[in-house]
Amino acid sequence: MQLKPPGVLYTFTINRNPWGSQGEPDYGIGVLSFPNFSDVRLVGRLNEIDPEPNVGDLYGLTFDRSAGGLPRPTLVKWAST
Amino acid sequence: MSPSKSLISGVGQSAVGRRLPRSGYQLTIDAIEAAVADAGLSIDAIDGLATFPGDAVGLNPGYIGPDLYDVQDGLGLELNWHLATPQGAAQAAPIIEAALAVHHGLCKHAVVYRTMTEASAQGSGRRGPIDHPIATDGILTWLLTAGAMSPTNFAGLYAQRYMHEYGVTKEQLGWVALSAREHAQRNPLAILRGPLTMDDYLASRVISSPLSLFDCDIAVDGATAVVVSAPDTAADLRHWAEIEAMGTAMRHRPFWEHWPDLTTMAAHDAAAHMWAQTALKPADVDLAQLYDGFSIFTLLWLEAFGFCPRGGAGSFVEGGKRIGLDGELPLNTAGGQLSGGRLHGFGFVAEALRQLWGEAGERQVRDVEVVAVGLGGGVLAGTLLLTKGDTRS
Repeated sequence: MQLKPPGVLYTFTINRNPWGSQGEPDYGIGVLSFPNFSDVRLVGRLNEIDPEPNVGDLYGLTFDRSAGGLPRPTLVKWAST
Repeated sequence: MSPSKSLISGVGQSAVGRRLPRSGYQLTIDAIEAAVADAGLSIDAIDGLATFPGDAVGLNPGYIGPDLYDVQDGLGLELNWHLATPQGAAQAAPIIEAALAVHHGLCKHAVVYRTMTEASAQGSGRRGPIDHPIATDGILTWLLTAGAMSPTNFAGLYAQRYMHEYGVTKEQLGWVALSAREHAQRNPLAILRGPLTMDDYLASRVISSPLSLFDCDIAVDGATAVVVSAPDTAADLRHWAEIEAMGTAMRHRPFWEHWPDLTTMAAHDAAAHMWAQTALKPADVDLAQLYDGFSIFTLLWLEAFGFCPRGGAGSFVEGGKRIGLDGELPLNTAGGQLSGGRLHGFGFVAEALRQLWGEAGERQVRDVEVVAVGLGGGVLAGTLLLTKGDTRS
């Protein structure tokens, strides 16, 4: 199948706790669903949390580099892509 | 009447505290010796031993209790059956496996223990993250890659979706925590016993939205042990509860984010599996012990067991009356893990047994005959339906 954006924000959480001594304090994690592909969900880092998103918002998916150098899926508001 | 199903005949707990001056091994031995004595047995009667998770790798310090073989050796047990596994029907797995073992004659009396030393392992820090490197396989791969470093994040995703879909409010979620605290005030072993108001709850800091501090259980040091016995040993026991039914089902992909409906958990499969094995119904249950690693789990467990309709758990717990000690379904009567401390499910089993045996002190609920126990969260779940048995002494 070919998955086409945008995805729909199925759920999210804003992390406010710095896990461990090196932890980042505030960031968002979202799960995208794709209405035409009910078996597919993608999870990624939200590119912005201020203002907080809403369930149902539209997002695209990109990859950036995490602090460890690994590619990290990042959810980008569809209107801003 | 003689029982026909597997029994739980004893329960024991070590001291429970934030940072205890005893090792996990010592706490475990304390709990086992207490459980065996509670059953009216001697250590040499124990021929089965099980634990969760056992010598598993990649788990956080303080999460893994003492090795099964260290305990066997330390107590000088001659075992006919033994098991330690991190995979299965959540923390209920070793109890369920022990029930099967005694029922099929592999052993007569199995001790099952769970030991936590997470509070000492944390030192002066807060709840730790998942402490292994970001994996390239396994069920947490994508969550970890996105920065979901704690089960609090996973639970936050479930809570957000559930509250969105059913209009459940933060205040309704809070009643799980408030009720637990009220019950903990009658439990001398509970860690958090001071009053907790809704204002306190709402003002507490956010950990992973919509979950805040009092939605999360509290790490402790402590061990719990139970004795699972064969039904034909009932006459030898000081008291017993019968395991009326058990649930172990998990019917979807084991990825938190890919669970088909994040307003449900594996709890729904395990509970349905359990009800299919018994003539008893949710209305027959006198009280419930439902896992509360996070408050959202308890709401979902209430619905999984059928104590309220889908989306109705927020209304069910609101005000705390229905789930109070005198309510229609007393819930987490020892304070759960939110206030009692994170004994990782086994605290709920211990409380279920004490309530069935009339040994719950100030928090004793009247006329307890049937208790539902739901352990686990997210993609892991196991259930027990316990019924009151005889008391010899």
